[in-house]
Amino acid sequence: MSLYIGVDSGTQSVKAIALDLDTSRVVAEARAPHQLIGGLPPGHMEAHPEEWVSAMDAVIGEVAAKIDRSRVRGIGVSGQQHGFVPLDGDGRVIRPAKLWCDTSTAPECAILTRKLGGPAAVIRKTGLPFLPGYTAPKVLWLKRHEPANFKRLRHILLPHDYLNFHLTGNYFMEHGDASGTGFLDVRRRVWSEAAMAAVDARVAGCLPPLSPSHEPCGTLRPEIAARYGFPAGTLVSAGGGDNMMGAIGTGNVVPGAVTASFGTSGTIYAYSRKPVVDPKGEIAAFCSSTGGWLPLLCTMNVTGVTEQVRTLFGWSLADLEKNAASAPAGSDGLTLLPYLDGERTPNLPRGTGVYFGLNRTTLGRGHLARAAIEGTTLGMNYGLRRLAALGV
Amino acid sequence: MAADVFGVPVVAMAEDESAALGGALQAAWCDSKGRGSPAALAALCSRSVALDESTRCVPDKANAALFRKRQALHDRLCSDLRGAFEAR
Repeated sequence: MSLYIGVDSGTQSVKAIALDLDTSRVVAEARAPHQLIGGLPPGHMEAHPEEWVSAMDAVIGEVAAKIDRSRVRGIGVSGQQHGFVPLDGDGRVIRPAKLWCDTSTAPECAILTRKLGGPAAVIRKTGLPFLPGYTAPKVLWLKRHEPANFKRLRHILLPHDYLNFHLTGNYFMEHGDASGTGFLDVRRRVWSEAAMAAVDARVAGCLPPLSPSHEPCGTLRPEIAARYGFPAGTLVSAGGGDNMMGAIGTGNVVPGAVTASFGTSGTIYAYSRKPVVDPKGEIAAFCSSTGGWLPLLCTMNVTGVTEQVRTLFGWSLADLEKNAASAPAGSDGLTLLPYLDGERTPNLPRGTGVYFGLNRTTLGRGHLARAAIEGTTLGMNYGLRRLAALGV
Repeated sequence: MAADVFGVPVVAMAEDESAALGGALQAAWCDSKGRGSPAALAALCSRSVALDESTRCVPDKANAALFRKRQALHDRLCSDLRGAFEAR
């Protein structure tokens, strides 16, 4: 009787699926790329939110063409975390969104940390340290570098909130994605007056009111419902950040299991009924998009590392597997510290890759490949151990 | 291999697009509340989220012990090399 559409808008592409709740089956899927803006200085990673909208429209349209549209009852949107979509008073995008992977805001993090009284005080007040990827330093960056744009700023939204805004016309934020802004007091799930004021007195008026994640964002705007061919009044749920929505899609909505996601960066997270704040600030004390919390660890060096080894040797994926399998577990003592991009957990921003244990046996393609795969997995395990140490 | 490193059983999801599936499930959850017949999210998930049991791996005892030692070596290298990384 009922179909629900799920959308995941990522850094470089968007996916949509249709779930038939009666049969519990995914009955349609579609995917489309969207572009990052090229030619920016190192560390700057930006995208045009309008591109996300047109790519989302394309994949929802493609899914809609494969299903009985009259049965669609709701849409839920997942989006890359932390990106800053700046809107003016008419809801128009002021400038491209700076993304989670933009590291140009390290000076702003230092300023905000100082204003709140140092790293320990920040964790006491919000539960999370200010990291360059988070939203708050991006807002301060706009104020410091583009004052004319900052003057026009009336609404601060995250990527998935902007897609929700497109679908419903409502400015809305739920706890899960909001917990990655740096503006949220994650323990109490309210905006942190101190964090907002540290950026600017106007920030409090630009953030939407917070809603629990089970509240709907709204209903599809009639003209969009008509375009997709969905019933009038189709619901748009709160949505959330991609890790929060990945938790739901892996059934990680009650304590007991851990989800590991191996991508360009790797994340490892678990549902918790209570806030899990890391005094060292290594585990991100996020909220879930299901009414609980989602302590999470993000490492920067996962598939990017193994991909670079693969291309270095000119291998296909199957070649990589075959060669890695030619060396024994543990690679005869060869191991790789995989920090090709530096690392954030453990906190080694100036770190590099290090092969350790080279000898006459291990200096070979198979061993180098296997040690890279093992090394990146050991990097993810750092997070699993840290979660366990915090009692998750 | 992941099971040996993590020291726990590891299994892949049947559906690769977990975040999109999560979106659809959250919408179904939200809709059930709006219609006055609230479903538990965990129940919705257990019906619609499937594991690919053919991929399930349990840790091999000997390998898991080997990777515990390897992890200790990583920890040691990290702390021993910290100064060298920063001086670079």
